[in-house]
Amino acid sequence: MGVTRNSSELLLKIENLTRNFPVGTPSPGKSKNVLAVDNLSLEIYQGETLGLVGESGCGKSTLALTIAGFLNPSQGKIYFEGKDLSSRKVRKSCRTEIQMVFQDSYSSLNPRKNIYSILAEPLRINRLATKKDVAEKVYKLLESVGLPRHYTGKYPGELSGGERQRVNIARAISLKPKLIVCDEPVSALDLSVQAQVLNLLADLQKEYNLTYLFIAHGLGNVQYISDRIAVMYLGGIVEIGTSEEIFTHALHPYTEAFLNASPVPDPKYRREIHNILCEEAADALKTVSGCKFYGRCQYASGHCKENVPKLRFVQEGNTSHACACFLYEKFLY
Amino acid sequence: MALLTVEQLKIKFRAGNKYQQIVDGVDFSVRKGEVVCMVGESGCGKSVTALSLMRLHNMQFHKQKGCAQEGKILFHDVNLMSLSEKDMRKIRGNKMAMIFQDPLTALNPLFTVKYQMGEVLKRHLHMKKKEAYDFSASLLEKAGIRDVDRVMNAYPHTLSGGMRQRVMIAMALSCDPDLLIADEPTTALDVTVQMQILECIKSMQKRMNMAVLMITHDFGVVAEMADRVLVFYMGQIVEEADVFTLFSNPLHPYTKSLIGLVPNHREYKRQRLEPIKGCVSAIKETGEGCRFRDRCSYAGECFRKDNMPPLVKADMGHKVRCWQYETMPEGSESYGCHAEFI
Repeated sequence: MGVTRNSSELLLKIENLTRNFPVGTPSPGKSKNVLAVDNLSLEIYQGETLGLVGESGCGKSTLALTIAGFLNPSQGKIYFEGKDLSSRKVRKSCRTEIQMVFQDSYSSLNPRKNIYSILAEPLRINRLATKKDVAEKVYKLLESVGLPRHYTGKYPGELSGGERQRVNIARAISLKPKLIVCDEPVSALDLSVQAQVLNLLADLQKEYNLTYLFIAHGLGNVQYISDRIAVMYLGGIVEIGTSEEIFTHALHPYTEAFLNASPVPDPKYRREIHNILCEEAADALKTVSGCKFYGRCQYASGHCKENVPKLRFVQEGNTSHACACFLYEKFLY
Repeated sequence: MALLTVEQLKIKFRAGNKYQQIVDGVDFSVRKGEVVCMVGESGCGKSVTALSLMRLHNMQFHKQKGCAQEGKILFHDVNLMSLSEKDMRKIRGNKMAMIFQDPLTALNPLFTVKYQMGEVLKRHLHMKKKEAYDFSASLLEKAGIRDVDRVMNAYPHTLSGGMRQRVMIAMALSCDPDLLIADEPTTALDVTVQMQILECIKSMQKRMNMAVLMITHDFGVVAEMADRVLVFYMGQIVEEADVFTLFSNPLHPYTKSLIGLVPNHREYKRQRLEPIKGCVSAIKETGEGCRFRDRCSYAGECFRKDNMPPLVKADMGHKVRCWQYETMPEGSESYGCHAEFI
């Protein structure tokens, strides 16, 4: 699917994006940089859901915040509908079109404002509603996320986690955005509520023709909502493909290990094997010359230590998607 | 012979002028060397049940009479509820130990790991300082920590989440407990670290042949660890079965739909999820009858019955609390619940 799209559907294009954060003492010469996002390129197409998975600390949230404009890129460019977002003027004009839903539904809502003012404020500021029809629009937003009208008078503290996340989603769609960056929107919710919120996101996508970047640290829910999945490891994407390809024909050793690490809700899949990811945690501070997964990879050779693998399309068997690993050098096309 | 038997455990907390029934008549037992998992959504009383086994929940509430408790907790045939605090202290951390969800708040930030571990050993096993140090170092090694010397001298905040949880496990296992209570030990951790911690608990459990009572809301963890499973819903056990039966033939409609909701990445399919309608209501709002009936799609007849369905034996070691489990279609797949939002 992702292979044959034409560029007219391209919504967001990230080119060689790097974002680093200084760590430790800020004294000259001693300061170290941690590369949260390292030379990453990614394309998101109109109307799709791109799932982004990876261990904590791999830079998925930094990427999300950079796309949404909360952080500036250290290097590289982000293009939204062909416009370069590094210019402040363009960024300002695109601000309503990229919205975000956060993991913690409580801290992302102002506890001292009721739901009405939370939802009315963006409409007012962006002049999307006149004084007369603000109320009407707010009720409509609440309705579209499945909350009753009388919730307008409530405060975030009175709502359950699932309801609060619905308010967050309502706020995100209020400005009619094209892209919504969802940073682990359901991780903090209960299982039965998770399903409700995921279905809501899927319904809204159809209704408003939205594009999602859906971030998760586990693989569970990503499969239900994503068209494509990108697997991230220490600031870079190691594999990207349709979700079926990733789940059924994972190529990169990291993806394979990551899939093995997630517990399967069926006792017949109980594992006996020792997973390679047990060995050592990913350390973003360590600078390596070659492949970042070198230290933990069971297939690693000397070649991997010296050279950095690029993300390239690999055709193997009945699958063809992009993967950054020297193992598939011979299958390249 | 059961190691731990809980009979008709009822716990109430005071909310305003009224008491709220948090745990309502829970019966279960844990045998020696067995792993029992308690699953349920948040607020279903699983953590309070676990805390009450250690008698940790009423410490701060006791004086204000904020908490009332009934029933029996028999551990090695001694009723823990009638023990004095002094005797309880001898059991806690010794024959019965606990690990918590958040290891950072469970460890004292002001003391080094070696001090905190040594404290347990000095208290329960009357070890000398040097002896305790060596013994804790060997425990940390068994829990899978490689640079033992660094960790021993470290303060909790300097360790990673996985490391801290390993320290907690090592500390909990230091007195060779018969029962380990693990309250969501991996919820705050990454998938890969979660796997390491589960592996660590499992290998220790096998080596020491201790019983583990594990609380979780993740069915993946249940499938991985459990021998037997207790499903909680609003302060009650609604289903009890061994792990293979529970996943292949769940009987209670709540269990059925929960298992249907758990994504299984080994059997990839992209489909719409079928959530349970509604959400957990407050316990005081439910009437006398079955507590799940408002959310259950088979609940036609149940609304006419005004009493609670009993936890009946459906099969060998399989108990269920439902009026009409016999007439329901089998398996979790066929359970057809329509998507409906709050």
